[in-house]
Amino acid sequence: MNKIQQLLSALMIVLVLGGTISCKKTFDSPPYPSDNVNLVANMTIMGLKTYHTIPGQIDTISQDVVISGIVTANDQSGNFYKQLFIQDSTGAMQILVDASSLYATYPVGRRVYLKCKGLALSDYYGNMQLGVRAVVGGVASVQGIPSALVSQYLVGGSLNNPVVPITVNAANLGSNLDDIYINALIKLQGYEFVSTDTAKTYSDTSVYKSTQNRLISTGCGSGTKLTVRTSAYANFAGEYLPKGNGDITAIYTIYKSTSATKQLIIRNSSDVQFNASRCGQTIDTTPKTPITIAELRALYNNASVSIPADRSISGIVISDAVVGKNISSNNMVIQDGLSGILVYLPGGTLNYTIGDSVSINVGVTDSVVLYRGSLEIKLHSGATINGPIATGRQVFPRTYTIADLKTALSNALNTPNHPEYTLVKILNATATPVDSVYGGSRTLTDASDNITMYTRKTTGSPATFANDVMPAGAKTWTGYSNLYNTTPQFQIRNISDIQ
Amino acid sequence: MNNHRLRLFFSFAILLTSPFSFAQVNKDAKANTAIIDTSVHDEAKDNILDNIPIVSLDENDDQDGSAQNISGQLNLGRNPFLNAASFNFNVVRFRIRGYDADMSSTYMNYAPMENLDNGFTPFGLWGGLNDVLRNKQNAFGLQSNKFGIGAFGGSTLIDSRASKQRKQTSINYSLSNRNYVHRFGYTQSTGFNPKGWAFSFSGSRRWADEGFTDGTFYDGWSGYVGVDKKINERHLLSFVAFATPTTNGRQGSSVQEMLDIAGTNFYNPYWGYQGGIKRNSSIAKSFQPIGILTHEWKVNSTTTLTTAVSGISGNRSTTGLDWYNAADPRPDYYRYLPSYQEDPILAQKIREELMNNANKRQINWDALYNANYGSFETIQNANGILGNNVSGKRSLYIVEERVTHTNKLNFNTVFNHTINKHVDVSGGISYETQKNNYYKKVNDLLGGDFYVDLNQFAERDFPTNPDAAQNDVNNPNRIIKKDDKFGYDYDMDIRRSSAWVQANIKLRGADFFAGAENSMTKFWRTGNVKSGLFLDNSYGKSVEQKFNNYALKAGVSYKVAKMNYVYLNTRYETRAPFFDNVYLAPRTRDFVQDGIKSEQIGSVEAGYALIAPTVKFRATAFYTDIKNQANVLTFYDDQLRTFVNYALNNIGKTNQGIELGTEIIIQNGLSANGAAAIGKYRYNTRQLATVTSNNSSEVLAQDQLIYSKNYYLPTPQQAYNIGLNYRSPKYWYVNLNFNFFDDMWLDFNPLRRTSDAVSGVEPNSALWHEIIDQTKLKAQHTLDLFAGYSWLMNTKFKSMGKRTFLVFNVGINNILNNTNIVSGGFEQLRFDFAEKNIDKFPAKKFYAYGTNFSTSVTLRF
Repeated sequence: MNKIQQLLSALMIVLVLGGTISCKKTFDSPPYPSDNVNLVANMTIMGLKTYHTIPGQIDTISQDVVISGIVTANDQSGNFYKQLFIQDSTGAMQILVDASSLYATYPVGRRVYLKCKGLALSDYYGNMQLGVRAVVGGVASVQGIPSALVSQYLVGGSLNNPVVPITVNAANLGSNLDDIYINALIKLQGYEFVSTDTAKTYSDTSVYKSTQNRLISTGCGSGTKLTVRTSAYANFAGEYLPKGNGDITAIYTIYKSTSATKQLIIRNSSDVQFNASRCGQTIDTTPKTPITIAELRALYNNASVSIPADRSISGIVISDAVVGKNISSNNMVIQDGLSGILVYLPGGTLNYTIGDSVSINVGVTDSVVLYRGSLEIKLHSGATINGPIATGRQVFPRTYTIADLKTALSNALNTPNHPEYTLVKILNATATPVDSVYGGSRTLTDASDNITMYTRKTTGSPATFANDVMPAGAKTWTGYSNLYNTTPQFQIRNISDIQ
Repeated sequence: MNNHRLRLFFSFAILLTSPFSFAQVNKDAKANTAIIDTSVHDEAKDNILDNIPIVSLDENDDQDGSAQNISGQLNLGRNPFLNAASFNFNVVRFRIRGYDADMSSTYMNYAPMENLDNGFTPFGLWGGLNDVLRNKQNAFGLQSNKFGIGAFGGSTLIDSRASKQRKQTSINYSLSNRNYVHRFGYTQSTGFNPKGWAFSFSGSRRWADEGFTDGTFYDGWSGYVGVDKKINERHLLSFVAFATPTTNGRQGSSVQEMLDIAGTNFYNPYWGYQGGIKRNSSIAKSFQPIGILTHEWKVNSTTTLTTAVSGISGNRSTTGLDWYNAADPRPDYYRYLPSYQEDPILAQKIREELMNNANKRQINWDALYNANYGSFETIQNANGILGNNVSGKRSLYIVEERVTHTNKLNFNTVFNHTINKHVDVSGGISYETQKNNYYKKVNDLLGGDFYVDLNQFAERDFPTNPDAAQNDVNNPNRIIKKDDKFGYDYDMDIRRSSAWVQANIKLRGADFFAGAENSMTKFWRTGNVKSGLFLDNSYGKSVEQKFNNYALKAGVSYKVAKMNYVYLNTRYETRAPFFDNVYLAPRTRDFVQDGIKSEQIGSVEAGYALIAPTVKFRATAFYTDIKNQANVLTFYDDQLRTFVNYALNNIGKTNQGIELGTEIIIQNGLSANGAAAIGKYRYNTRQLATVTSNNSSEVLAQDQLIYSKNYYLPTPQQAYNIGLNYRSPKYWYVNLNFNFFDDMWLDFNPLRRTSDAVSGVEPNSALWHEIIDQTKLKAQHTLDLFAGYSWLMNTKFKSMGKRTFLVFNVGINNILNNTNIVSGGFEQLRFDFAEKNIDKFPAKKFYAYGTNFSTSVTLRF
């Protein structure tokens, strides 16, 4: 190769190497958010409130007002929608934002700065709101800040600032437009849900999804009641109200038409810590020793046996007294690890559902008995059941063929990991007779064997799906099984158990 | 000049050239023999085609070659029509005869190259290796060839074997402003040495820190090695291996509202600044090396048997944003645009904000990181272990990487036998296997600690069924970190075996051919995870789909007079449906379309050709009928808040038209060329749609009738080209082409052509037409210029031993800088059934690049 060729080749190699170097791209992670945002609050939230003094009026802010506060509540649980609540030492404000999943950008504890110029203040039945003025259908109102504009007004600062609710006496909760507690995160101490509400859920679980009001008071016949208002879209809407007494943390709002209703809106169900005994009831303070379901089952030795004193049993409910109701009202099935058992509360109502975590105080007045071929815990009348301590807890079913399940059920009842009353799954099984309803004893057949499938059709309290027609063809079935006298039987909880 | 006049002008110009050219036939033919190396011009065009814009058609675009345009890859050859169709018409995604990319076939060194899943040829797998891919045999349309049974759109055999490469070394650098800016290439081929070995090497690098479109980048390496060993005069053994590891930042399409706000038709929603650097969220990566072993055996003087074994293995992937219970991070999401606001003052404020603040129109990476930083959560029973609680920053936003791992192994053998001087026969058998593994993995947790393998849509829809939300019930609540698989994971297996035979008969004045093929295709899906929504249909091997098909073809060409030919070719075949069009939602389950059957395709073409020394003219008319095609469209439905699958069947098409091409030597190196494609490519049936959602087994609509008859396929129905070419005896050339396109239509949304869409609307009212009429795009024109010079350096540097050329090329496309050329687009697969507002989900359009250039310099010796 002669010199010119060499020179040209070299030139091109230099070019390509130059390109190689310049093409590398690496991305830094941005720093954690901080309050270094070139903004200083020049007004308190209480100061901002002075721009809006006449109820119903829309007051657009034309000055360079900057406020700052810590996010105390957002849309995470679904109980608030397109709303953010911020608070400083002087008061609190509700900010309307036309965007979903605000919690991702504005988690509780984040400091935010608000450039208020151009925003508008008004009130919804006496409860102050900050948003934008918009004319929709010829009517002016305050609406959420459009998501494309949010960053013009709302600037996020540091994360994880402490959020401490203001502990307040209910008598001090005011209803004036500029009340310090309106929109604020407050805490009331020593409250309980009124006894007419304690069997209810937080909100409406029906398809109508209407927002529900529940009442709290200090108990023992107190006449002063406050409203706990919960959206049916809250992810805890279906949880049962706790029965005890204690502290509640919530955003305080008012609804003023003829008179002012004081409303508390909780962020999630752990804002309600009603764990102590209700007003006027004594507390069993004896420490309890935990006993597992496996240990309880091992106690049984072909005769009823009394449980040792001062024990507590914990488990997750796998029966469904709410949707499917394929269980007697004084029974529930709980499971812990790979052991399960039926619980019987004579004369009581066990309103628990799948995934509720419960603990039961037991002792010598309670026993493990054989009832029609299966083990159960027979509680004394009036026994204390704590919980649900948690809801939505998951139990993973064990998968069996029917033949294997029947073999395992026939083992001695105190055998470790006995499948009785634990969650099991049967694959590719067909229910017969074809086209019949669930109610009664049906047959479930897979490639290995068949088993009785029992669904309550008892007059007065049948399973809600007793009169539904069973699906045709091979399905996957989830439920629990036991021996009924000597017959192995399998029960589903509701029709979601069929896949 | 209005469009009608322009069209007439073109048609006349082309037709009139024929008689005009007869006068030229007997002129001095010396002008035609200008000694310029004609391949120089083709090379320039190759380089440009290698760098055509790629716009992603949709978010879930994970198919090979779908962003590529078949016509651009055909051999340029000396056919003036093909030359224009493949090169000048590329700007508007012209498709020859209106065909999809699955209507052509490609072989390399006798190994079939098409994907079995969709019939596309993955041209990108040998991108950048143009230097060793120039040897091609081409059969256009229904013509016969001797390496395969062919296809409706034609077939190509690329011969990249080492001994077939010109013995030379070439070094090339080119600079352009398209997908990539720089290209460096090196190729060296040795020819046979005395021991019967031939070697060829080629490599190139193509790169751009930023391509024509904002936020795009390109980084592609290509490498090729070919070794031939001539064992003796009868046996030639060849091996080639090549790979093209490529990474590029992609361009996305957007709605007109956003393009107007951005003030450019080249707005790209895929990128945003992170730490001051443009970061693209949609990065395509590809690395699928190919090896081909070819054995050519001259059995005797009349028989040749050529056998090829080929293998491909590797990954292709595309990244994109994924988010869990968080706001849509895409800057052009419709709720963030002014048109979403009812209050005009607010709408104007938003418009101003978006116009004045470029970052508002791009992804806000910092906000995504910040959301993840603040998302502290505890996952209970993590990884399916009771009581195993994992706490940390649960990412709300991640970058996911959708991966396709492909393994292909093909065997193909072809024999050619000459029976006598009038008859020869060809035939072959082949067996092709392909296994694709599809999955996605976490590419970047964006500052979070983990992600959880849950289906948020199912979690919302089935709150009481904890299984339903599990993407894999065998591994519930799985905590996933960078590079962990999640979401879906399934395999596609396809096997195809075929045998074909063909006879060619040559008589005085007439040639005939006839051929037939029989093939068997089977495919199935294997799920590697068990979806909580489809416990019985997601895991394990599905039922096999089997098809037995045949193809028949025949043709005749007849010499009417000296240099004047007429020809008639026909082909009929049944074709197995493609995997992609059969499975409703393969990511979650093995459900298939009802009543799946083979497609039936018939085509006939007839034409006239004049092949004279100074004029070439060819006119072809064709008619193709396609029956029983199927297709599956998937999109995110805002109302249902889930992915919805539109399984279409009973798709029929009629593609008919004429193609004209001519090239006339005028004088002294000056020549003119013209081409026209005038057709009607239309759907000819009412399609049936079955609608399902990814998150439930419920059928949302069964056999919904789509009023699709006589709608147009989205390619220009009319395309014209006229050009002038001057080749100087001094080794330079210049070439100017004017192109005109008309009768272009937007791809349509089947949902808008249903009785539901117009229910309650007064028939034939303006609104009724707005909803159902197909959108016609404006006619367009472009002007392209090419020039080149080939310098034989030995004339200046006498001392040089070898003949050494330095070749310069420049190509300027769209000289008139027409930035309003809609090169394609589609209506979004959504419709505002409630308010019948067609502007709620407006069409997305792609625009061809404005003036763009490519220059190159090549040293060859």
